[in-house]
Amino acid sequence: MKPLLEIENLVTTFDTEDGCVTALDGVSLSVGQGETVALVGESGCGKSVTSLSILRLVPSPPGKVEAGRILFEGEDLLAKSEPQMREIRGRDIAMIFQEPMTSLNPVFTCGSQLIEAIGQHQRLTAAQAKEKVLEMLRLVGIPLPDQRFDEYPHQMSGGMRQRVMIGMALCCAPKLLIADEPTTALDVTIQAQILDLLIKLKKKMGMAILLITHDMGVVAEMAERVVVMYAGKVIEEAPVRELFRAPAHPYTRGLLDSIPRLDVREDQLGTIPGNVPSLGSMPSGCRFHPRCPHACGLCAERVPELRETGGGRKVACWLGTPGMAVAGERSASR
Amino acid sequence: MARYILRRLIQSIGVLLGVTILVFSLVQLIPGGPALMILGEDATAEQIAMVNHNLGLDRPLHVQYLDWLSKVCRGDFGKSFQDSRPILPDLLSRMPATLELLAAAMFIALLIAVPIGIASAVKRNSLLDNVGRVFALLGVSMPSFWIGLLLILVFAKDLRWLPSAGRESWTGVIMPAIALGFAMAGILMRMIRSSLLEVLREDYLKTARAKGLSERIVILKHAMRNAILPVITTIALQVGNLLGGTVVIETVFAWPGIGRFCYMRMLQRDIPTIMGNLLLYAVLVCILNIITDLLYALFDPRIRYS
Repeated sequence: MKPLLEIENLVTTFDTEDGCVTALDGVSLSVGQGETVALVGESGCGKSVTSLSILRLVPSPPGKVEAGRILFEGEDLLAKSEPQMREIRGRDIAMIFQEPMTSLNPVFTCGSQLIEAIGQHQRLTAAQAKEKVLEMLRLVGIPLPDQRFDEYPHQMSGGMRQRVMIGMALCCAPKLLIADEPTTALDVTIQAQILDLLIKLKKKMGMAILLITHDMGVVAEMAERVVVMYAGKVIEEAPVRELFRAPAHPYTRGLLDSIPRLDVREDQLGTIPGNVPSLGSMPSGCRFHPRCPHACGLCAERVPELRETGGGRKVACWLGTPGMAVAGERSASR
Repeated sequence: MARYILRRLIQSIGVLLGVTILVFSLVQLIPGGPALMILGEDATAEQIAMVNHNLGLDRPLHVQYLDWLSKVCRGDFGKSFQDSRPILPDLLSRMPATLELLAAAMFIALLIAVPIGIASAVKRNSLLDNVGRVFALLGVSMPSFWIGLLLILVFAKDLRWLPSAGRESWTGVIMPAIALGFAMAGILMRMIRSSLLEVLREDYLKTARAKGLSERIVILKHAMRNAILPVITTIALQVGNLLGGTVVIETVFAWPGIGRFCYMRMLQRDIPTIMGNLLLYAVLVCILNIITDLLYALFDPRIRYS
């Protein structure tokens, strides 16, 4: 599959009162044409910063993309001028956000906000634009689009607003949709509807999706490939079935263990001890080692690189490498 | 929307009734009462009693109030102690000058406050922001009459660019408007800055940027439309202050408006004229407040539909 988006060694930093912290430390990932890739991790691991970095929307200051390349259709987005980026935003790469309640401007009608998105990238008459918006609203499953067109965001429910957001994002038929936790803020029943809608629209329009989430259920439902992030680094990448069947990184295993299951009788859910380290005080070596049940001396000293393990899988862990073999067995038998 | 307007109107009537009671009580506070003021210090008790009787001041207070109120409602503000002319026509004939000054001052305030306030928020903690903040502090702390005197010294006396007083040519309004509008500009600037800073954190600006909109449209359209709401409230509150300021500024610049007229009548203790003036100002403030409320609804659909 030809990659649509390729991120190579992306480093994004933030200037804070406690000095400069590195939110993304050499993140690499790719999304193929029409592929759905899930970017998974706990809050604060850098998922959202990655997505904002792609669109160059990291607030600056304090944020800054320090190094790396973001190739979209072979062209480096980081080398583009602001006007060139503006043409890409919304037209080639669109984004939907976590909070439908606050992501629409409260003082404009939903219709006008969609028209604005279309008008930014296409030359249409007012009537054509409105027709296109109504078509889009129908497509995202909004009943009575003619009426909803003139309504303000506060007159709609969260699910409806997220549908409007999706409609706005897809109205220029982007090649890549970045969905930043699109269902997190919604009721469970609405979550399922929105996921179904995304799956349906993806089939119809064929765009690639970079799905940012911490919900493994959403990952299983939608993704073809999964990229797991921890503390600003990619630690595992695998096709979705492979990842669920045999997670390679102890952190991924921890994430999967913490999903409640009906088929396994357990008194307690698996948890990962400890907390995500703060960006200001990263542990040495592998960033997960203080919380890792398999950690040994090597883990605290040297950073494991993301290495290919075959079958489209990558993992950044000393486990299974020659240097770790002995230590790994010892800790497993403990 | 209609109910919203109706509710505002009814509230205003309540406010105005309260004002009439306050204004009416003022007269009762005059030392010795109006009779002594009309007749002078040497008046005898019989003369005073006679004047009081002629003016109807020997009746019970509530009867006096209701009588006065009913006249006021019919547009009869009474006659001046000074020249015995009906008060209302004298006030109304000076109204256009005051309204002109008010509008010009507001225009100047917005002209200064809007661009600097926006730039301050967008380029937070920059040199421009700091200069703007000092400017705002100066505006708020300098008394308007003092700014007025400085302006006269520089632009009328030394440079001879602008007339120092009067309303003969259109240039006459410039200096009084600046003197009056400067303080309001300072407050508005701070208000726009903090209100916009608040809005700049909102998610919908991220959405707007992700659509590919230019930063100018993101700020001026998406952010300002939201940031302007608390600013409108501030403007409404400031209009009352501005109106009070006209009394001083019109005097400094010999501006032929209600403020200066009233200042002169105050020196002569012309109580009925002062009462009329207070009432007129109260009505003016109420009307302006209703207009701001309507503006508010115009800008914020959440109010319009609630």
